Amino acid sequence: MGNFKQMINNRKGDVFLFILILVFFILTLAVILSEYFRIESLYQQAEYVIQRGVNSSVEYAMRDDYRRDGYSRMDSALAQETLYAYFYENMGLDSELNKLAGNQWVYQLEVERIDATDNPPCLTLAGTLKTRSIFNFLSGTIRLPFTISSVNIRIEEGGSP
Amino acid sequence: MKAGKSVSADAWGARAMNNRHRGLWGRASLPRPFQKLLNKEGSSYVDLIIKTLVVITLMATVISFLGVFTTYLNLNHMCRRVVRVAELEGKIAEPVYDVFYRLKQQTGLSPEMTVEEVAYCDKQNQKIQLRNTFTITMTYSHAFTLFRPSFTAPIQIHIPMRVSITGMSEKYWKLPE
Repeated sequence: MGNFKQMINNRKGDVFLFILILVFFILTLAVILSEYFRIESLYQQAEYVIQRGVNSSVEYAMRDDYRRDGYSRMDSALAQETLYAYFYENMGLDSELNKLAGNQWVYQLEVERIDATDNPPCLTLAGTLKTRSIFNFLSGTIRLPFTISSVNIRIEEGGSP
Repeated sequence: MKAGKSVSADAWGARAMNNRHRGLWGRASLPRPFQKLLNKEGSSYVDLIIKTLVVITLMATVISFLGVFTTYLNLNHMCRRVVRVAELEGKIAEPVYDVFYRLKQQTGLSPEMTVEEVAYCDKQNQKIQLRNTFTITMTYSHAFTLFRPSFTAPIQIHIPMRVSITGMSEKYWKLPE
């Protein structure tokens, strides 16, 4: 006990200890910041890709027979079906909506609800993006909720003549 | 008790011995203009001036390199914006080139734009079918000025830059059967 007290009171090498603590603090901060920006970038990228899918699903499911008469209608079942086709074919997600880069798991989409209405033609996707940190000491799943919506109210004739 | 006879350091004997080891021009015999160099008064001031000059030079170098990164970020932003317009329009047409030229004016960059890996559903109008992908590549050569001598042209390094972004058409084209 006395030896320990003496060691604590000894002021030799306290600068070295201070530098070690400072370096540890700076490294931890750098890791947390870099990880935050990586996840932020991943979230934005995923959101952008999902938004594109929702937009294109609405565009594909628009009913031109109504549009010709000046009404805006959508086939909501087709829109949902097209959205899932986009997830599998274009985003490269598997049956459980996992995104893999090679053999490495990147994220998983958890779809909470899909609201599709024929009139007005609107498709809303609400869900969560589940991912993990690349650093082992930052354990646990990170859940990033999102709500993405697309509305098409264009009533002029589309497509090629 | 008899006190011993002490000899001081600047006694004649010691001076004669030191002079013998000083060579032709002893320390005290430097030419008059250089004698000031031996004066240590204000040496920390000179030290500070040199350190400040070094820091300013380093900062100037870092700032001039920042320009390269800014140019790359601008090029990336241009490409991203053009790709987004092409995605929404579903064709490589006037609106895409309009945005491209406007961004060129805004940023002051003049990159070359090429559309690659694209399958047009209507080649004549350069239409891209819904969910078909395309890649827009922008290349630019950034001139980094090393020196700007007054008597000749500036010495520059040309840094090639290339940004490629893939987009996907969001427009459904109903084509005639």
